[in-house]
Amino acid sequence: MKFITSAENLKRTVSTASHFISAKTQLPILGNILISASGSKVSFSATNLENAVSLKIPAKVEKEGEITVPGKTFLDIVLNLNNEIEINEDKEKIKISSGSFKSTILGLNATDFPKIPNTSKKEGFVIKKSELNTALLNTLFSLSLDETRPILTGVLFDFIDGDLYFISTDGFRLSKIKVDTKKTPKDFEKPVVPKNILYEILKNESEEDVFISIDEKNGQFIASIEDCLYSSRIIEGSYPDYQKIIPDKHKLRVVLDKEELVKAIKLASVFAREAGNIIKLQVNSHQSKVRIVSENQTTGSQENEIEAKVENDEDVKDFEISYNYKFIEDYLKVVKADEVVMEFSEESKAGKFLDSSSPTFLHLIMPIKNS
Amino acid sequence: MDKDKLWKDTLNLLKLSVSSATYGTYLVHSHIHDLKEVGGRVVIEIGCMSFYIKAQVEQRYFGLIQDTLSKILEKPVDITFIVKQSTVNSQQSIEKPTPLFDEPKVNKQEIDEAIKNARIRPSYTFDKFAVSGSNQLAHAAAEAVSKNLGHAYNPLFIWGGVGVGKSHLMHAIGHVVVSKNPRAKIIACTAEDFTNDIVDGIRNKTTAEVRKKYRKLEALFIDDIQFIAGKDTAQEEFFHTFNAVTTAGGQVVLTSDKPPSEISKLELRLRSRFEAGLIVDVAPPDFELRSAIVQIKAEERGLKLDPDMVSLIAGNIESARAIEGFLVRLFTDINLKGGELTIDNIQKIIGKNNGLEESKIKASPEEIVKTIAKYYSINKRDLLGESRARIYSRPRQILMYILRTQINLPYQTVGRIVGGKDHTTVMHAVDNIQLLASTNVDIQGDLSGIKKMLLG
Repeated sequence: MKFITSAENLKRTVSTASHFISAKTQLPILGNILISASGSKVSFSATNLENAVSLKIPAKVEKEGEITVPGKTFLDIVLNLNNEIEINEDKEKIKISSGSFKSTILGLNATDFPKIPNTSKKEGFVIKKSELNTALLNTLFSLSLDETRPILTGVLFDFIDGDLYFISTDGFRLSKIKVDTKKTPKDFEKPVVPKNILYEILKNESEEDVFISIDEKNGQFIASIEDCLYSSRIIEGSYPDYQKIIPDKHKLRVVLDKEELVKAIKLASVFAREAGNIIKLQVNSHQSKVRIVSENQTTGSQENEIEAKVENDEDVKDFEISYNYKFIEDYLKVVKADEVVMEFSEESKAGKFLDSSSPTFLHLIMPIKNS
Repeated sequence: MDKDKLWKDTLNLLKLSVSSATYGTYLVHSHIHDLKEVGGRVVIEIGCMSFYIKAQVEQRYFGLIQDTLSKILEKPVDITFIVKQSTVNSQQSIEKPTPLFDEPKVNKQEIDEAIKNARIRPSYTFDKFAVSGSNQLAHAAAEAVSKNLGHAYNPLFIWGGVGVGKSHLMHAIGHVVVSKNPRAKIIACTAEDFTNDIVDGIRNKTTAEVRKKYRKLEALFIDDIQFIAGKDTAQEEFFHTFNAVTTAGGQVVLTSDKPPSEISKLELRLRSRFEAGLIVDVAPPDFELRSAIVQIKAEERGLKLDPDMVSLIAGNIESARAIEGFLVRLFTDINLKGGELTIDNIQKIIGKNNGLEESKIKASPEEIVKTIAKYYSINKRDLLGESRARIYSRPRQILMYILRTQINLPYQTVGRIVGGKDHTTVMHAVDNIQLLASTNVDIQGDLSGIKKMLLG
């Protein structure tokens, strides 16, 4: 194998591929990146047996072939090169030359490298990258990091009446957003896709459309963007029935200025963070105000009032609900509108948070029960 | 064969054959997902964590794993690979639900109280309603109403014979409504109750209160609405109540033994109101549905019935209510009198029971003989004769069965009618038909056909 390619392309590709190698592996080959050259393209693949990536870049291929090399070493070299790079394979070694720089890296035979998909399936659907990014940003923050409940550590791709929705929940909060697809997706067995692969897709800066397919038989999720092919296992298990916990009625609706709320939450967090993260929202419907209160028995307390538009049912006059401020903070980070809409029914039931700029995005946060 | 143990043994051997890195990466997280023996060979399905692992293991360690398994099992083994995460871990993860998914604690007491206040029968829920072809439509309609109160079908008019489950469905809707909102204003009553309330109102000059009670409801359930027919004030009051409830978006559910068009002396404006909604009929339960009912009711009482017993009861008792009555009797017999739960005992009770519950047939023995002869198109003389050919003996047994169980004649009398048979012959015949009625579709058809002729 022998090819010449630009340093810029190689840097970008190898650094992406390096995210997929296993850092701590007993098996050396899983720490390697597979390089294979054919036609006018060179592909770089890596896998940690949970997910995998295969990236193609254009190159002047002088001799076809393939080899694997230790990802970390290869990356550290490539990142520091600026000129055109020539890579030449010779007996389980590669020789890298770029300008006056020359290096030899010891590799391993490609035959031991795990088989990873290099083409996507035909059946699938297309999502605009910007649409996908928004949907991922709005869901990835609220999934669970707790590995004892694996099913909650991924994003659910739910198909309802031909529409695709992304759902994530950690059991305390939940995000749901509709994702516009270019081709109507057929009803797949609603897959739960692990977060890591979704973060990688989010990192891809390309603005081209994303083609997504699901290989149910092999429990595999495959996404392709231009010349990048991402794949991952799907998390097995049954996702909790989230539909039934989405409240359909509210008794109180509060509209707040987002920036003011962000500031108020930040101030409240000073005392809340050492007091179980608890802040209280007190809604006073007469004065159209929301008071944000936090206190800490050893350090002190604060309260703050912000203007609000309040709509309420007759039987709800004053309302108080306690929240973990971090959940609200996380939510405020992804809201695009200038206003935040909150809907409540009871102080012990989940509050609904809406984004007026993104009508299909819905977020629920469970309050902290007052003991 | 224990799959987990087998796999553990296999892994121990595989560990010796491959490097520890390979073992730790590819093999240790796999498991045996399925194992079955097919004609001397063992077919084993091995689950791997992900596609990548599966592809690798399948490609490189297929032979090794197959050989190892064959050696342990001492049988030829075929293996296949699938992507399947081990269930051991996921089982551990089923723990207490997180706050968001924790079922909101609805106050059980509050619901019970509400059910009592609304006068809903506690045991009439959708869970306890068995569905088959005869009542499927009515069930679906009732469920739709319970999900979308006041909008799906308004009014819902359920009609059908005695003990087919009309009231059950109606009350089941009430249960759903109350469990969603214990504070919902609902009343379930009979047309009789409604009329009485009106009469009381007139007598005590509290008509206004009666109106308030009925007209501000979210759901009004009235049983046996046909009894309102012919009572002018009650009909008028009901007409206004009906309008008040439905215009405010409330649901009205009515049951009756006839469709509205056949209720005589029903005011025209009421009839047209009833016909504006959905009218569904519930047919008498068929054999399968009766079996299901027997099972449900027996479970409620903690009786464990064998399938044979279930079909014996379902084959011999027609209406749901009679089945309940029968089971009460059986339960009493077993728990209080210390009887045993056997086919024989059940047969004995069926014999007694039918006299009480289903003596609807008022035909004379002569008429029954004639009817059966006619039904089977055989000569009366042959029916009562000595021939043992099945075409005569079977109808003769059925005749004895009907004479004994339906019009409750003593064995001797039955024997005399059927051409001077001994009473033991009659007993044998009755037992025989009882058993056949639970298993033989033809006999079931014949019995119901004959009963229909006798009743019609």
